[in-house]
Amino acid sequence: MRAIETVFVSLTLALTALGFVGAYLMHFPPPLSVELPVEPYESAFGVPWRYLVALYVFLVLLGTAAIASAGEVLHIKEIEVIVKDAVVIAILSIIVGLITIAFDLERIERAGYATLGHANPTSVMYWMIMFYILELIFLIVESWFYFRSDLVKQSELKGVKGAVGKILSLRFIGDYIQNRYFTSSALNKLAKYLTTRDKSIDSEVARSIGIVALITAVLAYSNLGALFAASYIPLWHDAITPIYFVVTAIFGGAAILVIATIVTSWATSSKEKLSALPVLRKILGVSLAIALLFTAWRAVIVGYPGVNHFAAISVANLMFGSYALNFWIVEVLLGMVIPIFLLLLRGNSIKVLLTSSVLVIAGVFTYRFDFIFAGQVVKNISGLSLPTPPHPFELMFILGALALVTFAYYAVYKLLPMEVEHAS
Amino acid sequence: MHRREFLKSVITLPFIPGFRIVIPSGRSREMVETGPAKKYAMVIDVDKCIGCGKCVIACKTENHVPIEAPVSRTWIEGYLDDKKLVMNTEENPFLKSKASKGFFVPKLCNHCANAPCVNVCPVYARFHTKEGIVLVDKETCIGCKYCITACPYGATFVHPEEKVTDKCTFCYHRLRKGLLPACVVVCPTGARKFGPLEEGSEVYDLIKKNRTTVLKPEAGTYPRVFYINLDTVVEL
Repeated sequence: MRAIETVFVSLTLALTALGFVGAYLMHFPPPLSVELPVEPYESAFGVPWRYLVALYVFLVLLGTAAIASAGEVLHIKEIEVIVKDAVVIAILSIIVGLITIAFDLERIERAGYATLGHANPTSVMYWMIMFYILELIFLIVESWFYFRSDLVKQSELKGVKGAVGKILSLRFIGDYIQNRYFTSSALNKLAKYLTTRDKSIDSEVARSIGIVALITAVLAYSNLGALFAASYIPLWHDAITPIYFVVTAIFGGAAILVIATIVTSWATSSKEKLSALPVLRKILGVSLAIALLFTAWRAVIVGYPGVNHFAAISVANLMFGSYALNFWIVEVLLGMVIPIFLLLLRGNSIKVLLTSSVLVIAGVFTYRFDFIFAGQVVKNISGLSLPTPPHPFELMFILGALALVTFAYYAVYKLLPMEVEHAS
Repeated sequence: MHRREFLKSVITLPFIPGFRIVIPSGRSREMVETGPAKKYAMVIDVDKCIGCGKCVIACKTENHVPIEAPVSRTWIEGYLDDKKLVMNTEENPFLKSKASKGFFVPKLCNHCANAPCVNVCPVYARFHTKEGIVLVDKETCIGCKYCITACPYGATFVHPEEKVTDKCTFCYHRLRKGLLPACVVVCPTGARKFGPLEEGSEVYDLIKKNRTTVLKPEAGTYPRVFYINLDTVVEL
């Protein structure tokens, strides 16, 4: 293991552990610790949805799943080389996102109620949970078909990688059937399928599931926007919020894919996946331009004086108040305008593309936090309140969750056949 | 019921608005089954409120909300001219004021007929009783806090000890024993009146004979808390 790899693994594991400690302390604070933020709303200070909700939105709205599925469904060759990465990132970010939102619940032990036995179909949040669980299932099934053939090949290796290949490809089931000499032709066909590499069938099935996964992903992203838009918070209450969320998910996903592609290509000394960058650059540029347009018109429509008094205060606070620096400098200038110019002028350069993507991720990360807080600090009854800084336990959890996604992605690279899939 | 009809009803039920799949778990749900069918309402005469805060103390004591916690099922807002005051200061802002008018507005859950908190709750922990009172099933609430952001009146909060959302219940446990809500009983000026919304009742007459309004009528929530002599600035 290279020195840099050792440092990376140690750091991400340490931060992940720190995150879990933070999550524990959030729910069971030690007696002498500083007081946790109280979370009443209008009747006192504070806001009910805080940093963990913002982190959840950031993670589940990294739209790599939609990009992967769209690439497969539309037969975009350049996307096909990074489809495994895109699906893996989507699965990991959604899992960690769901863990994050579970820890934000006051009664985490009841998290299962939201899926079983207590369903309220009139709640947008209920549908959000359903759509994300469905998306996760479709993505896992879709990725199995992308990986299966290479996993069968990997199962021939010895050691941990071989065992992983054998288990995840379900080859062990195929071997079992073959060794038992069943007479059923269907079983024997299944055994043959599970023990041999046949990418033609896998690709077709994966593509079919990809269509469903794409529809579910768009439904999930827009439903999350609707969850905010359908509330009484003036800054959120807007019909274009769901579509805006889809657009931000696309450029967030494109940016994270650019970063992942460049970093993994560098780490594995392979240039094959870099062929996806031109398409990703186009997706990133176009979706950023649309998002910039959305941002401008949302500000005008929501904040237009005389339409909704509190909405106007919200937008004024976001643009010229306590969030002005975040909004203008990080979200708009660094997160959108500069990346668009960089992509237009020097987008062919890998360094410039990487810089643009990092800026975009910083912008969208800040946007998620600003959207959550700037919406809630304008209270309908008690007026404007100041944003509260993150609690140390919340900061620990945020760092831990981001480290967990990064480490899990690294672990996937170590254990699964992430090399480019070639049709046999 | 024929088998075909039964199957048809099972298939179509999930698509009927308002249908909810629920495993009744809380004691509060048992109350729903046996409670009377009258619709209740509260009428608050703003001119009679002197801002003494007895209702807040009584409510917290009756409903086990810690006195020192910065949250309450009912609270009083103070206004001087068109400004809402911060009341939790050491100095009484009303004493040195030269404002032309000052008044207090008691607030609480409005028990909306079209309650946003009931609609948004993902686990159906909020529900209407037969009397139109909105209750929280504390054994089901997961503490996602969606109801807090959805409430236009800021009337719901996380209970600091129980770790579930909490709000006014019109003292439903007292109501079932034929008693009035604690805040109504202790109010020294009789600013709060409570009762069934039926012809001949005190509440019904107050609404009929006075110019009453509700908070945020534009929200379309149809509150069951009515205000007499409420200044327009509060209606914002």
